[in-house]
Amino acid sequence: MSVTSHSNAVVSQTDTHGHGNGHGDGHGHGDGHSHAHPEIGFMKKYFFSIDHKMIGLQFLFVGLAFFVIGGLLAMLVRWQLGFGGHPVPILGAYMKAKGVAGWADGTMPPDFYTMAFSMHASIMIFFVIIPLLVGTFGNYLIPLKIGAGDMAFPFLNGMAFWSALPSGTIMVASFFLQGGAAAAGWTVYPPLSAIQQGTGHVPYITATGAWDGFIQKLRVHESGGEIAGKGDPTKAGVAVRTFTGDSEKITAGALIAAMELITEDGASKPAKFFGNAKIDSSSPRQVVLKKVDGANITTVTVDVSTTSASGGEIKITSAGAATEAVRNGAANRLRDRTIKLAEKGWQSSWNAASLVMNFGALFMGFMFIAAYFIRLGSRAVNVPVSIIVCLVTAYYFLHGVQHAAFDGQSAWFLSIIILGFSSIMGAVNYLTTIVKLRCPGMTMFRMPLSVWSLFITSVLVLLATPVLASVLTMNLLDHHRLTSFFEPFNWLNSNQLQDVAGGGYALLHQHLFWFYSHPAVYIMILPAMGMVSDILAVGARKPIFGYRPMVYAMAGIAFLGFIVWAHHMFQSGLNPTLGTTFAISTMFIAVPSAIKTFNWLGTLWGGNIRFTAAMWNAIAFVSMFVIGGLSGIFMASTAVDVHIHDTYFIVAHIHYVLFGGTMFGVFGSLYFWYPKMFGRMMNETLGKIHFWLSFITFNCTFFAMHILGIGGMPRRVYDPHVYETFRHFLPMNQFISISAFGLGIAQILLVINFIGSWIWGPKAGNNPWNATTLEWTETTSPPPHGNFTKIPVVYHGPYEYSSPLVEEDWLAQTRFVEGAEEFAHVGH
Amino acid sequence: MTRSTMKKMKTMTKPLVRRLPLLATSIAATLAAVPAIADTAHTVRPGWGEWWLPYNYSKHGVAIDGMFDFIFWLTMIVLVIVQVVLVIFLFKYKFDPDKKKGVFIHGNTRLEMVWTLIPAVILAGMALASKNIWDRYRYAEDYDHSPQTEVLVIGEQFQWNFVYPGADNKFGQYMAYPQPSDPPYRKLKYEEAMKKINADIIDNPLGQNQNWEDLEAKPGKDDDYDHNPGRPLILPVNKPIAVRLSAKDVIHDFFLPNFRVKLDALPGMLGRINFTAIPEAQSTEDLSLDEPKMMAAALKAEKKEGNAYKIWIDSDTPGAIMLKSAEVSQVNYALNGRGKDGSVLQVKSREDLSPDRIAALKAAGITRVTAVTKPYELVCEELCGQGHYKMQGRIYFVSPAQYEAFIQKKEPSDAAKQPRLATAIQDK
Repeated sequence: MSVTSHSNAVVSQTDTHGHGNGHGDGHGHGDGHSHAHPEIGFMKKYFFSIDHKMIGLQFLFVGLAFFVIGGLLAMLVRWQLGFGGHPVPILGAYMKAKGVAGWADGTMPPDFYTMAFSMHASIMIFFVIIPLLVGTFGNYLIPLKIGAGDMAFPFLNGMAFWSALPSGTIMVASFFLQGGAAAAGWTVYPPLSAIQQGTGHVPYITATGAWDGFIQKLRVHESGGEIAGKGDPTKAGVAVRTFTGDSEKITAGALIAAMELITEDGASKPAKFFGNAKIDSSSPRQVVLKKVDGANITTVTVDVSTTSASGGEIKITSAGAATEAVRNGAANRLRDRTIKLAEKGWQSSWNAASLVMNFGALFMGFMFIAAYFIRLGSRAVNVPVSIIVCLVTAYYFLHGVQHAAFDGQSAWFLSIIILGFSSIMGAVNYLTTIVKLRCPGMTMFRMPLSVWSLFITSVLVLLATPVLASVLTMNLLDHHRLTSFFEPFNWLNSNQLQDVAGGGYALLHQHLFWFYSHPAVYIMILPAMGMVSDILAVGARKPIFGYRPMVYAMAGIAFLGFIVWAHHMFQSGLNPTLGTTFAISTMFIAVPSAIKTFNWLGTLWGGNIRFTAAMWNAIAFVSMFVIGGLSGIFMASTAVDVHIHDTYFIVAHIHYVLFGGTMFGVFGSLYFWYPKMFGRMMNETLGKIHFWLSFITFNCTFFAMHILGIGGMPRRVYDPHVYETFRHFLPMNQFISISAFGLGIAQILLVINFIGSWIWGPKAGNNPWNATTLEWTETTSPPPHGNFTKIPVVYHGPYEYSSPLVEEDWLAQTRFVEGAEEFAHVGH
Repeated sequence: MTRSTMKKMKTMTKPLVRRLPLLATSIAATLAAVPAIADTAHTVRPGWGEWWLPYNYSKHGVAIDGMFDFIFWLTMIVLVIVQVVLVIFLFKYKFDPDKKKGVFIHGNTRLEMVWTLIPAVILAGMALASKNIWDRYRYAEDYDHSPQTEVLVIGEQFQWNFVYPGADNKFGQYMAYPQPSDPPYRKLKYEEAMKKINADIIDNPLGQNQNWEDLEAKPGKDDDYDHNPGRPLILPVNKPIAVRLSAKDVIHDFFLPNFRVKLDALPGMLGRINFTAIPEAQSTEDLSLDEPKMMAAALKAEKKEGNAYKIWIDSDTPGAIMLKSAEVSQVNYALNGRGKDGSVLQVKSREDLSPDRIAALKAAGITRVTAVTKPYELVCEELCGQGHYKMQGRIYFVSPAQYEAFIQKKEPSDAAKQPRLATAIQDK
């Protein structure tokens, strides 16, 4: 039990803080026996650091970088919704120049849109909010606030970061895989997520009859009247045109089918059909045949979603011959490709992205092997993890996958599974640290609320994440057609019988997924609540109102958070009575949220509020969280949810909670703890401008979405204005998009402030905010390696502001004043 | 896409700035009968109502809307109180250098009790209230469980299939797709069996169990299960409707914004939702070509839904303007039980129904016409895959008598007669 002995060491040794055995030994805990140690190399200090502060900063930079990526994806989504049909600025021109399929006129194709919002959500949730809240502030604040020298398992901490980074890399790199990134939403509901996604995909390779079955998958749409497309119907006869952008894409048709149709249709008029079908590589080709026959125009749209290895042009001179030629050509190409993939695995689509992924995953594998051999101390985690990662790595990257190509969806699953390891490692670490490494006098109820919130969050992570890992593993296997946990039928996106069993249960995935992801919503808001509580107390110069109720409320939220997951599934085919059960528990989760809100108001009451940028952001958190919480009541009601489920009302709600809540909390925390992290003050004026711009544009963007949702506008839809019911929302959508661009642009100020203050900011003292907690009163800014030169001793709670017992309006936790604790309890 | 819709699209794509004056005038004309923005369907309320819940045409929807309104006003009151209190605190307790210190208080247990219990009681009440509405909707407690109008809806990439039970009002067995181990395929080689099954699936896309000899009753024989992507869903008003819902491949979503109906179509499961459309939902109206009445109808049409109003005429009438489509055929068939060649006279303005025009129609032998409003929309809110985004469906509500006629006289439509192309290829 090395952990116990370490914590005892920390408590007992009050004159020296170092207690490890030096570098490279078997114990992860004690590298910091001297912060002036000259032997810490550059790489070890800044990259493979095991110092919790450096790891926190690593998470911060990575999280902010992903925030930029996720934000840009949101801009793309908003461009489409507001100005769909207009060429996308910059990206459109680039894609057009590169000749990417679907971008012929610079407008966004639907499959890219689906990809963009799926990845926006995935990146923002998994690689921005969780790393920023739990990774950054959890790492940075927990040891400092409880008076510990470092985390309980510093090496595990480093591993948590070094598995999060490859995971994020895989996620972003998947954009460049053939077929693009995952496009099944961040909720990855099967059976859709089990289908090979995106353009240019390879049809499933089954043991027999792959090709013969495939050509049957044609489906021909016949429609009267005009069609929405460009180009003109030529003369009399038939114009064969290709276009990829704005027409409905029909599943798995074939060019051959179109030719065949023509043959039949035009049997009496053999010379009528000619035209060019240009085929570029790896794109679904949509062929529109237009027959002009007197006044009647018949349009036949056929989608070709086979993959051809080589580009080229097929000239159709006469129907019969062309049909045969095209059919043979396509068949051969497809068969070649099929065989190639089956033989070589996904590596046949070798490109930059696959390189990154390959090395990312191999690196991961070696990391874990190394961890196992070098650091035997944390064997319990390392052994199973390294075995699993090595097996998965070996499976994917050495033997290839026989049944399907390694596409964006596979990358998504792999990425999130690896991230799950990171989360679990972090949670184990936080819990152990908080339970075992508190300094003398730091009882549980003398911990700041931010530490409490991270403690409760870690419990959630530890209990929920394994479920996510299991469900995603099942889904990954389903995706590669090895199993059918979630697919009821023995085929997927066609009428094709496959060599799989079927018999799965699609709703099971939703249950398991939301069993993680609903607690995950609280993982994404609880730490922000805790940190905002700290900031509010400091800014208002008052003790937090109702400290214990705040803790109990958070615990209540965490508990209720585990029994409300099915409220995401009220309209998903769930048993209606079960829906009622979850509606009641969901309603009750508003109670602890209300307690917290009123306590924050109580904290502000009678204060002496200093409006710093951090404080403004914290106040905005309270204000926006109220809106997000109240709009949640609508969905909690099963009856009202009938209308607003899966509409923009939900989008508005989640953004009020996660952007209005969490991101403002993160901004506030960044402004608040920046002096501690970098030793310099941020520019207050710039900070306030950034806050007000963000606040106004945020509300313009997301409040309007409630109205769209009430109107019933569906989320996830490329162009909702094709529905007559939602056509009048276009101006509102344009307004929202413009506001969203403003929100995006406002973040540039944060970047400027962040970098500029690092260079030019005035030096911050140890305690610029006159705060009471240990990280401000007991150490320097930034803290040295090992955090404290002297183990602090705590005498009372964390929020003793405006205490009448002392001259100043703050009473540090370590400052002993006779009767302070008793006074705090009877003082009201 | 018709020209009028194109035109509408153009007006709608005007930049926001150019629409602002329009919005401004509509503030002035909130209560005016003619809305400033007239180019919305009858599914959306006019004027400022277009920013609120769309029209509700279902019986259970009234309670849902009431619940929505109740929660809306309750949360609005709470929202305003909390935000006002917050702002007051910010002004009242802003930093004052003379003040030195804030109030030193750690909490108040009595207050905590108050703001724990009051929300808890209110929320419990709301949970129970919404339970009642929910049960009435999902379990059809308002209905007496007499025979309902049943329709089977099967989602598929990328279309909706609608199956009607036929004259016997009973469905056959669907989604019963063959396996290689089934009797007809058992003796074949595996590859041959797969080939044959795949061919059979194309011929029987909804997987109706057609092994009649295996079934004692043959309820599916008269089912109308055309695999026809264009055709609309036709349902009666004022009769309890039970929608059975399933999907073939991925999850689809059956959402009728105007009927407060929503359920995911899950592959492998059979969902069921119940609702009753109120009489006002009827999409059709029988009109005789008497001049005054006709004019009244046209007037009504203009008020009701701008300039898009269709009048469907029997197909075998000479002199009608022809625009053939699957939809016309289906609707026309539903309305008058006639042949599949529907014809439609599209009335674009009041001038189109001028006395001269009516006289001409009468001269052509037309005495009665059926006016049909725009269909209600079926919206899919789930991801279908491949970036597909418009799994729209059209729904017409007809009178119970018309629906009965439609159900009783089944006739195969165009699509069912189309040659099986895939099979043709397969055979080659």
